[in-house]
Amino acid sequence: MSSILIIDDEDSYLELCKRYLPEHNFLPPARNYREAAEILRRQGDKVDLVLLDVHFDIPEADLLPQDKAALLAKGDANKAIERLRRSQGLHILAAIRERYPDLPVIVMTSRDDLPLEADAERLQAEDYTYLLADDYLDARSLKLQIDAILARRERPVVSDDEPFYWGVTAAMAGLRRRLSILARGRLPIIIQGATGSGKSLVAREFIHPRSQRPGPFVAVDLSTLPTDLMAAHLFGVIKGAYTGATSSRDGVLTRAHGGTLFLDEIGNLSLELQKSLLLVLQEGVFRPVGSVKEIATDIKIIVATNENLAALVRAGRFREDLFMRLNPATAVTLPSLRERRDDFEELLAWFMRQAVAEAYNRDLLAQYAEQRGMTATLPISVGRGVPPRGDARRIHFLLHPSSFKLLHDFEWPGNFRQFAMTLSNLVTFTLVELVERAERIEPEASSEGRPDVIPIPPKIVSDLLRPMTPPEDSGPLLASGPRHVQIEVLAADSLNAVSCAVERQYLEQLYERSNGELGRMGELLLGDEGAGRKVQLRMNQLGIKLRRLKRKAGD
Amino acid sequence: MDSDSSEFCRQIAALKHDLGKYVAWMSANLDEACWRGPVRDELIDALSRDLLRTRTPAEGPAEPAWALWDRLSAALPQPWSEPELHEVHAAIAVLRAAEPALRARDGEALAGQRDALRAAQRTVRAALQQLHRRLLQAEA
Repeated sequence: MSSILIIDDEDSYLELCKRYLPEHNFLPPARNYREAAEILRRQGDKVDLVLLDVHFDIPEADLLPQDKAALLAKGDANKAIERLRRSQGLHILAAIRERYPDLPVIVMTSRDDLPLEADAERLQAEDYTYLLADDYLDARSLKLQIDAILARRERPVVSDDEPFYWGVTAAMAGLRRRLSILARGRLPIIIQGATGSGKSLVAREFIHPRSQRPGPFVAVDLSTLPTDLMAAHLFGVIKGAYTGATSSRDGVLTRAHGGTLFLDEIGNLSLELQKSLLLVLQEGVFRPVGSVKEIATDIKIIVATNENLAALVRAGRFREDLFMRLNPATAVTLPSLRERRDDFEELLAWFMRQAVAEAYNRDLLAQYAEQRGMTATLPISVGRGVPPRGDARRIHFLLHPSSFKLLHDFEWPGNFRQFAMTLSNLVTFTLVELVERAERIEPEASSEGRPDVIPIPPKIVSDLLRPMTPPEDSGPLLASGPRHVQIEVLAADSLNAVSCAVERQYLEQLYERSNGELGRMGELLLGDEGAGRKVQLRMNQLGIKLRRLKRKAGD
Repeated sequence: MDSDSSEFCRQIAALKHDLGKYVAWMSANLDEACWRGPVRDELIDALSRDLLRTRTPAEGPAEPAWALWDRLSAALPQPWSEPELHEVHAAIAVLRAAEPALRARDGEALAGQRDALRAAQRTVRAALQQLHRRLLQAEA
């Protein structure tokens, strides 16, 4: 039985639903946002679906937003409050979404009844938000709609078919939803994240298909293009524009027309070319090198960077007008593997399945299965424990707890790319060993008690990780003391990226030594105990997750 | 679109929501069989809910369909130039005439009125819906 929360100031929906949908459990209704938030706080994990009315004829004090001063300052206050009552459900929805991004909500109104056309567009673009199909409520169609939503909810949100692993945490579900919404809009998207965090994969495999644009996906890594060829590569060139331009060539903007252009490492774009890109964003036109003729283009632009674009603007390396045109308010940051330890176990299982699906590993597994009289194609699982019963229809990769810890605690500077390669090697080396051993020894003579369980030798794990582990004494070791920390300086694409990485390490270690007291850090750094907030803001800007540091300190 | 027209459209949207949506809230979902043969309690319950308690705020008394119409239509600019409003007005008179039978749960009287009541409910819904759509199209 599914639990449904109705948010409505009247009993109309409750009466109707109890009468026509008796198979569901309806929680006591919430009459306003405060009551809804309280119910969700207490029982949020049990709520499968929310039915949300739009019009709330409730006292002014119960209406969102709580601060109505700006609204009331404009024109007739009574009319403003009435308008607020008639659109209250949308305010409630926005507030719910901040904490429950993937909770299914049926907004109990039809498109025509929404106060603004823009509201309808926005709601229809959202995942997990639904409008009624009919102008007036038909209990039978509502029942069908609810059943369909709940059936979808029972399936995993993300299947193995998606090339990017979203995981199971609320934060990642929120990120996925946000990108899904941004994909369908016409505005550019900024994706931030460390090397290997999946920026180009998300752009190509997730955003572009959801953009519903008919044209192609074209990607350019600006860090690999020589500066003097960048303009021609992007905008195209006409014959004779410069020595060597023996023929006219289209640039990537032309090739991406009608589709998506992904500009990786946007921080590498010269100031001059930034101006040309600004023209594309503002006017939808560009000029090939050597041409005076403007060409119209219709492209969705996604840019990616592992630098802080706002910092580049402050440093004069990135045009502010271009930055603002890139829609910075909705910039999305993909977390690194280190920041996703909450769902590491699921992540490991997902990447193991991907590793086994690779052609070479798939062949090895088929050989392994054949040698042991098992089905050639098998589903796989991975874990630290042995499944209680043998099952000839699946293979379980068994990780020793120490191997799991090694993988879990590893820093993974190359992020998911490095993780995927390591697991692929892990599967290959493990299977090669077993297949070769079975060829040397008759399987019947071997002592394998459970052919459905493949133990991954801990030595293979440690051998694979060792070359990637920085030596204990690497990096310049500074003197000890509260202001002295150990910093590892790694080469990066820009000096800014290097200095951000250094500052990040410095602040993280200082935070640890200050026992998480931001006031102490403020005093140490700025001579002002009240400057803790400034320190916190700086840490946020650098992408330092205080929650992670606190958890680390707690371990 | 001037501000008077926008305000009028908002008023009609409110009428459509408060009256048009709820005037047949439960009864529109009844099985066809409820509208034929001996009057069942189920039909009386649904009609009572839709017509005597059309608006049921969490606080304050429930409002019948005709009282809701009187209150909301009084705020509309007079005289009405939209034919739909006259249709609704006439349909509301039919609904209002059934008030004694509904309050008395008089099945016999309701048996003779139910077809007219059903038609009037549909008229209120359809006319307000049509008028609102027309105003929205004019706004666009």
